[in-house]
Amino acid sequence: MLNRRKFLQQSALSTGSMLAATMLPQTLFAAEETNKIKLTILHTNDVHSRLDPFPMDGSNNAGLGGVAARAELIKKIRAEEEHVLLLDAGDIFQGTPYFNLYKGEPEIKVMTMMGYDAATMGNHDFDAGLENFANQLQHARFPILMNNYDFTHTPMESKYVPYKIFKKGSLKIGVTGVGIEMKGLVPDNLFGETKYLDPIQKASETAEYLKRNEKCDLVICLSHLGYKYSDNKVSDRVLAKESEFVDIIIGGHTHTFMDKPETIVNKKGQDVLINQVGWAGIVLGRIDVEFSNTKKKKLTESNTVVGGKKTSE
Amino acid sequence: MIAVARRYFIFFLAVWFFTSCEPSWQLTSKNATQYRVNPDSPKDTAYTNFLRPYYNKMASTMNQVIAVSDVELIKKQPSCNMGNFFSDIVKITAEKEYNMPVDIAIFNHGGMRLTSMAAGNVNLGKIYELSPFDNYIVILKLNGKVLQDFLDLSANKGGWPISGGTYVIKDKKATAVLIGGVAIDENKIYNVATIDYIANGGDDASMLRTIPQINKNIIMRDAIIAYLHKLTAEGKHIVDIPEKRVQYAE
Repeated sequence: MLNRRKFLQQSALSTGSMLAATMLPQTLFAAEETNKIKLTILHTNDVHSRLDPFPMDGSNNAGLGGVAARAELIKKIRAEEEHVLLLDAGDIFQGTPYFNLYKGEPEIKVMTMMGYDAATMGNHDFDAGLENFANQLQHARFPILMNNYDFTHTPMESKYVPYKIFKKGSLKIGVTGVGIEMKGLVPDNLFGETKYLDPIQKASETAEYLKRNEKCDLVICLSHLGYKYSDNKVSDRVLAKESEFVDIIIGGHTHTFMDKPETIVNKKGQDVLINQVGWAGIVLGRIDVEFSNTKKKKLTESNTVVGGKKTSE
Repeated sequence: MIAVARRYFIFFLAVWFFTSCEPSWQLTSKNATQYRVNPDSPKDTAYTNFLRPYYNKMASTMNQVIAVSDVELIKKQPSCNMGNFFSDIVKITAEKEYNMPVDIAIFNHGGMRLTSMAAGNVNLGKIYELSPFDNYIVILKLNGKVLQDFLDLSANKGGWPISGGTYVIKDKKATAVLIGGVAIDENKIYNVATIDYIANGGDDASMLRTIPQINKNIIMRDAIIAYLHKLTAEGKHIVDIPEKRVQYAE
């Protein structure tokens, strides 16, 4: 609310001259128009138990990744930016002997240490069974966001939420999550009674609720659907195109190293940004989203004040 | 004066009213960057310290060298030396453990979880990374028709590791299929070694779902480890198998 405070201070300072000066509102509204707020979204996907960097063995990923370096990077960015969200798009588990031995405990613990704000579930997070995932979440201080898996009558039943709203300054950010169809991808016995629901429908419903009812300024969807497929299988690109209230899709599953995000125009003609950063924590993704306050423009318009030159800021 | 004061009061009310509303933010720009986490990136030692006990316990077994490779094994579609080497192990293991001839061994490309395995010493942990899943090697008796469907799926998916057979991908189908050097026969029954994940219909192999599996609970990773131990005991190394078992039609 810094901006409003500044606004009021400016009105107070101007009070002395304002009684006679009808020019005052111009100064006020001019100052108002410059209100900006920035959100920094940091994201990973498909880290696959890569706690240490790849070993220095001459292979193509040698030395890359690792939580100690990622944590340092995140710490540095948090020191520079006021409003940061740290998100993961699933497949936290499976891929190094750490998982075979410890079943995901150190993975979840370091994510908590790094201050992850939220994650969604990938198909490999079922690998040691749903009960194991649910059990390891006792070490998590961040929510698992999932919209299109119905976990009723499974060990995950009370361990997830469909969305979470984050307040950063006066910004409201709604974050939700969707997962890929398990049948054919995850052995039946591992996903048990979990029901798969239409990710586009569920994500759209939740995103609409977040925008309309909760008045979120931004809706982010964490997705483990995969970036794109050659057939018509549902993917992040399909989700972007067919959804209505999602602004940003943080993707995973296909291990796609995107050089830059892709922008897709949705049904309402609005831009949806898709990003994915490969796998194994080799890359940390960052999206900076800037907002300006349009309310004050309306204020200027709705009053009969003649707009003057912007005088400050 | 009163009029002026009233005007000021009304104005102030207006200011109060408008600023009391929740501000509505309009998205103005989205900018993306990314950071590659490099070997020389500064590290937060709190994490290395936290991981040390987990690492030490793991390293005591996982850092044990079990084989030496003369070549970098690379995972690549439609065909690669990594897929050739490991599908050969699956075929050899299946023949030995199930005590029957195996016509082909085939499993999903995604079942190999390393994009490359460097030349030189191969430790146990590396094999866990390559094959982390507890998948069993199973045998399916497939007629030529179902086998063709199965191979078509693997062709549609860009080519899978295969031992004992070759094919050419044309229009996303497996063509010019040779099993043991002989053209596939619709009416023949083939012994096909794969992993239970695929046999259960994984990776869209729905044509296999109803086929009975011969399964002695041999984990693929254990089979690879046993094979590498044997190789090393015989003084042999992992070698390059560059043959293109799956190719795209020109």
